[in-house]
Amino acid sequence: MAPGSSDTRRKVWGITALCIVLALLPWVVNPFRVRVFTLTGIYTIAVTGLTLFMGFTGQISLAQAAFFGIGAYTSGILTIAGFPFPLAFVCAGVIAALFGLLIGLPCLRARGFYLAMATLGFMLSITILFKNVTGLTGGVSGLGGIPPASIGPVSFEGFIPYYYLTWTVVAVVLYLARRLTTSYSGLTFRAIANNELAAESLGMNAYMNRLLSFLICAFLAGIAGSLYAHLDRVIAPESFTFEEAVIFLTMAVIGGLTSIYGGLIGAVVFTVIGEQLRSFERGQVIIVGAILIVMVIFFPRGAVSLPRTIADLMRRVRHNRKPSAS
Amino acid sequence: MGILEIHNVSKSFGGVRALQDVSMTIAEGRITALIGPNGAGKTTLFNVVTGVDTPDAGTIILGGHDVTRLRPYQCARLGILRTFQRSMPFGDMTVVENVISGGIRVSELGSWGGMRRTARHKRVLDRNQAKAEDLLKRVGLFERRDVLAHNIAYGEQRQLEVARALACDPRILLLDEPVAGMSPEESLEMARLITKIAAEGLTIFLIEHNLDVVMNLCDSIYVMNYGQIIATGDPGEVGSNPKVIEAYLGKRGTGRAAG
Repeated sequence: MAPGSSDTRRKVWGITALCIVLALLPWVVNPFRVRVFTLTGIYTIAVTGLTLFMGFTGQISLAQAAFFGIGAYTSGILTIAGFPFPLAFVCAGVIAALFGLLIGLPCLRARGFYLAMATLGFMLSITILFKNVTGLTGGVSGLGGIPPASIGPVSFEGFIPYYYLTWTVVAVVLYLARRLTTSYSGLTFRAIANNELAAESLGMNAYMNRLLSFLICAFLAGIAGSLYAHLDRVIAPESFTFEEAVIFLTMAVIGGLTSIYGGLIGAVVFTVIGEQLRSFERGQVIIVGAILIVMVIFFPRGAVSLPRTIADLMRRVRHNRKPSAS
Repeated sequence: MGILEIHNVSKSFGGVRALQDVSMTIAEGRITALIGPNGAGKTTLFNVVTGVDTPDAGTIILGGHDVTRLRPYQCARLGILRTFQRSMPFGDMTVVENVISGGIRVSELGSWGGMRRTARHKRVLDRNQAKAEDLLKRVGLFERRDVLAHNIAYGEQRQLEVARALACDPRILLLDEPVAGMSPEESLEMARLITKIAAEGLTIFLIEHNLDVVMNLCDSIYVMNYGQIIATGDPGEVGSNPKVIEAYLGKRGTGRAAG
């Protein structure tokens, strides 16, 4: 009992501290940084979706940037046409999920590498679509003139208001994701990820559950895309490419797939490192790649597990020392 | 008329005829064993019955319903539950979570209802948690309920699998070598558990190599060799059948069967 409650208390403190830091952040850093941290929040949403799918079904998707793009274009096109932002935001998620259904229905019969390949194919064709359906997406030159996000009379124009809007969405998404993982369906997802054959022989429909988590994953990418569209209020196909999908994947793996906070940590670590490495230009990619390799080899459970892994390591060192001393 | 009827089932993998025209009747509320040498086709038969493999010919009837071409999760939902030869716990979940997840089949929440934390969701979860804890007490794993399943001993994992399958309210429970790799004490405990759940009226169909367990536990036995049923009857009949002694008990078992 005691360790459980102290654990909960520590968690509550951690979350409170995180919220305070996030709330104060825009007032102590320059506006450019505020934009970067907003972007971190947007990435967190998309990567949380990917974490839910990958961590809880054991599959790999290389299409997250495609759903991100679909959400961005949906939201951009709808608000330009005069629809209110909240509606466009929800539609972004729903349309992305519909595309998820379209691609998931046939592809999720496959698993592992085959599924990864299928999502890769979808990713590549969506980018081409964005570039070539000029009437709708503006083609290679992109879609400009997207109005600022507003809810009713409240406008979120400017980096600081938009920062708060984004992180509010992040908080809601993380809260719902947490509820999902501790729910019955969350238990089913985890069971299937652990051992599909055993799960099926207990009456769980692995395919339907994979599809469901894929739709959630696509939906989250879609709403993240909507937020992205209204950040700079101009979007272009090069933001929604295979490289971007790999970056999402990297963030998910760096953060850790076993925890819903993996997406948050992955996005933060990635953008912070990315910012520090800006001066290296193309070298940035190499360094990020190296970090990914180190993480996968030494901390396969991601940055989320770092404190525990280090604690285990310390304990082991202490244990080893005792017998040699006596 | 049995609860599970297997009619003329055949299954080939490439050129290997794993099952040839197999017919069996599993009586309700009894313990039926399937024995035979390695490679005789026993696990293949289990896979065919539970929907993991689809038979090339023949039909499988559960309580009057044709289940021949159903997928594993559909068979499970109709009440055909199984354990595996190599235990397959959900390793990253706690022992009690493993058993609760087994109850999902009967949770009547569905995928969408399973995500929304309504009052009903909580009620079902609480009920299944209570049920899971009861089952863990029965198999003797209650003290281990909060341990991750990959951290418990091998014998305990086998017991966990039985509890997890029982959480699904099976109509028939298929046990694939339930005491394989267990210590004598663990085997005895498992045998006691099987007797207990059978005494409550659950139909049990098991594959086992441990002949002591089979002879003491089972009401009837089917013997399989090269994908065919070569003998059937109660333990006494099967033990004295010369075909069985030749095929299964072999040189090593002759003395014992004679004595």
